Amino acid sequence: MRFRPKLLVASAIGGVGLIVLLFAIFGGGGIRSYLDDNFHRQSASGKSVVYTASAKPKAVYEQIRSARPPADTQYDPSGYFLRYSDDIVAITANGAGSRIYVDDERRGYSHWLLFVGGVWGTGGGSGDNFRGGGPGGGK
Amino acid sequence: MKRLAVALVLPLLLAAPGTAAADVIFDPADADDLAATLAEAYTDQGVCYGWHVTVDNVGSPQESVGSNFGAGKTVSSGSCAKKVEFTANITYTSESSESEDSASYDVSSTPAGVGRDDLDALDIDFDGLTGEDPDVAIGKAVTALPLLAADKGLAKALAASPDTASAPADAQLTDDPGSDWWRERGGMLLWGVGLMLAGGVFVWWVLRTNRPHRRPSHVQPVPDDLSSLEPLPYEPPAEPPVEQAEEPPAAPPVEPPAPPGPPIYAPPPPGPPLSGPPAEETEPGPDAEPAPKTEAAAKPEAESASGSDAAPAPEPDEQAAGESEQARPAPSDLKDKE
Repeated sequence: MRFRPKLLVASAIGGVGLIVLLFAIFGGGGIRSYLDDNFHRQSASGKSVVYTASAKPKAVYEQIRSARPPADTQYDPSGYFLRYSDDIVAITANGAGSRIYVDDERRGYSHWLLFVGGVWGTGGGSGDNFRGGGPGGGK
Repeated sequence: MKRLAVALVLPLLLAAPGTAAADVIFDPADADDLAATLAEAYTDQGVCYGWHVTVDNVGSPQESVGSNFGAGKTVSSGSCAKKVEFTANITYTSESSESEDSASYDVSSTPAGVGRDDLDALDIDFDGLTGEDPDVAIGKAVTALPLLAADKGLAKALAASPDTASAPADAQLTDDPGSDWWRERGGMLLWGVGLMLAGGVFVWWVLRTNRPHRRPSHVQPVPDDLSSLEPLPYEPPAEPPVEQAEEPPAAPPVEPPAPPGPPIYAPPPPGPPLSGPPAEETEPGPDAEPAPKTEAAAKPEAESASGSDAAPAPEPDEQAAGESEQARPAPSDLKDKE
């Protein structure tokens, strides 16, 4: 390969890297802006907002999780619970569709204590707070 | 009477979650909680749920079984028209074994509908099956079975509702979930920086390895007065000096032969040659010809070689000088005249 094509390839690699870097810094938004942009807002009370979606809860959960990866996820037969740095999102069934709750972490933990209590914090609840049993033979 | 009592009590015993037996995966309390959760879902949905995990602990087979009928009871303990069961096999090898721990898992349902792909879509970390806490991944998978059944239409969907009552005073979040920004864009950020670095290194390498080469300098005409030449700075030849000696610049054939004069002299480089024959061989000597002789140039030499004086043809000025010398009387002639 000659001098100029090599230089062009190198510049193209650096240019793509710059674009990716700028998109990483300035692109996208938080979980709240994503929910605002993609779902129908049903009601709001302070920082607690309820959205609705026509898709089933599992599809909504996969969509949100892939777009804005949560720090942790808990499951219950009645819903999906996603934890973010400042917010807690719950996805439950709503007829044939879904209902999406988003709260700040303090209020969200209080609202969904029955499902995530003892897992993401103190205060008990009947969440799946598995204690890490098992044979412990992993290597 | 006794048969009637058994007939009344037996269904109640089967339906109520039992106490946990010794379990290789879960603590007894966790197994009971999980069975209770499945029992609630069974009550609302009419679908039986359960788990069956076999563990080969360095050759010692063990298992963890539970269902909506209770911890330690399989999903087949009762008669269920619809059932969904999580199964897994975990093999722990000894520390001295070269084989790694391994695990596999699956989901079976009757009627068919819920499968492993549905479970994988939840993005549960099943690598933890061979870790220190396999109960975390198994517990999440089993708890999600009613969600998967509802998604596939095997059962109606259950809806949680937020608790509006005030939380207990000790209810506080403890774990730090980390930064959403870094979790979402950290990988992209690293990719961008990596690509920019790769491009920069590539540019540096291209500029370093692809500098244009300098062309070898042509032989310049040599002035007549060699003493006025100054030694040229030494430059390593691009080609071996042997090739330069073997392929001297050919003289244009149309030009007349150069008049005999001082031989063309290319000053040798000040340093010894890096390779090839010694400088004495490449340096033209007093008798050496710098260029191949053309026929026109060779002819006068042949004629002069056959002659007695072997002198070159006299210049016009030299001829005039010769004529003046011939016109001047010799000293012997003058003596004779006297």
